[in-house]
Amino acid sequence: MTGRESVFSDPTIIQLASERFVPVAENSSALERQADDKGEFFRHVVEQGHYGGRTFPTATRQGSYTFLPDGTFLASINSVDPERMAGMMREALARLERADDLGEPSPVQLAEAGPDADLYPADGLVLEATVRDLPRPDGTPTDGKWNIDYVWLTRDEARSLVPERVSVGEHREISWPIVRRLARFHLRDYVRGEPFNWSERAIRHGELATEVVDVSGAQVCLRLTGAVRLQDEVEWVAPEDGETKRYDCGFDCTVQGEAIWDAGQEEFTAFEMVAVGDRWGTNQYNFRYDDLGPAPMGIAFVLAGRSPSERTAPHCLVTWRPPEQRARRPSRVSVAPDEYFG
Amino acid sequence: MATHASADIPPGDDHRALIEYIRPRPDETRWREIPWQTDIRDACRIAVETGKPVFLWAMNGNPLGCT
Repeated sequence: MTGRESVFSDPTIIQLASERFVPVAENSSALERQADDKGEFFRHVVEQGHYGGRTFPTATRQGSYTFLPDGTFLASINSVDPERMAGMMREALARLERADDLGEPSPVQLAEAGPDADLYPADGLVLEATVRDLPRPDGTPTDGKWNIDYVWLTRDEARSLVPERVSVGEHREISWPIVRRLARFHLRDYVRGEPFNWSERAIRHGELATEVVDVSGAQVCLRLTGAVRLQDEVEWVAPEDGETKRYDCGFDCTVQGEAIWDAGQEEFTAFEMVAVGDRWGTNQYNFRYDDLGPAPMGIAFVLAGRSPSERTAPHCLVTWRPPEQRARRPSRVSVAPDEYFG
Repeated sequence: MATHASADIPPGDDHRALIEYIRPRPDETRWREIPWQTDIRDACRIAVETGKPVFLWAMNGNPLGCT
């Protein structure tokens, strides 16, 4: 995520990427394994790049790649230095202009459409979630990192957040499948990186409710309240030394907010919710080894926009395998749609 | 990297102030000014139409979401 605020916030990079290229962002770990034409196409490109053939210390192919739409490789780099990135982009453009010494197109060309599931709930409730450390009581400075994710609720689930009678004072407990989804997959510590999903047993307490606090024509104003406590012992084997790591992890938070339901359109026109509390522990990929806490963290949920990037799937949700393959590799960072939606 | 000062954090239960504190500021979201596509298939189709090469940002997780 450092790249967002360094390389991709640089005016030169923004201009080059926007005007001279067709910019696209995707999940590297998915593409590295994807068993279809897109995965083959991606691997043809990246094996000619900066990490081509590498297996140690990891086999990751993360980075930035430039290529032609037939898969002909131009140049690549993995860097958070804007000058080095700009150099790579200019090198790609120069190679293209010279049109010599270019490699081969991908032997596997992209089909017009793939097996990726289009699960985006266009008529449902899509929230953008931002996580950030909150100031520490002892004044210890935080590092300013933050991260985002997306929450998906279907149309029926969105409607279920509203009390059946929309009169001031009416109250509704939010259904367990929604509380569970928020708890397991969205009330996580992803400030610094990708955390594991919470297991079912980690949900020690979970309750969320709405209450009608105002009605003005079709506009129904709801107050959101709740509390969730998550706690589990998490373990994994570290590839660097083969040791089993074990940490007690948790997030104990209260939830509050307000939302506007348009009863005529049957959709939320505003949604503001925040979960605030202490988190502790670390996972394999969320880089909290030096900050085990407990320490305060907040997650803010607001309506997402409709741009392509705001259709990004929830981090945990696997949409990139054919249906018959989605549950084949259960992972602690990704789940099949059935497990997400419950 | 810019950090918030402790004095910025709102006391009590003001959820709007907390959300404003947590959500990214404009200077933290310049990367969104780039018109990112989210699928290599779409990017390659547009590249054919426009005659431009593709620029792929590939990170674990998703660079446009949780990474």
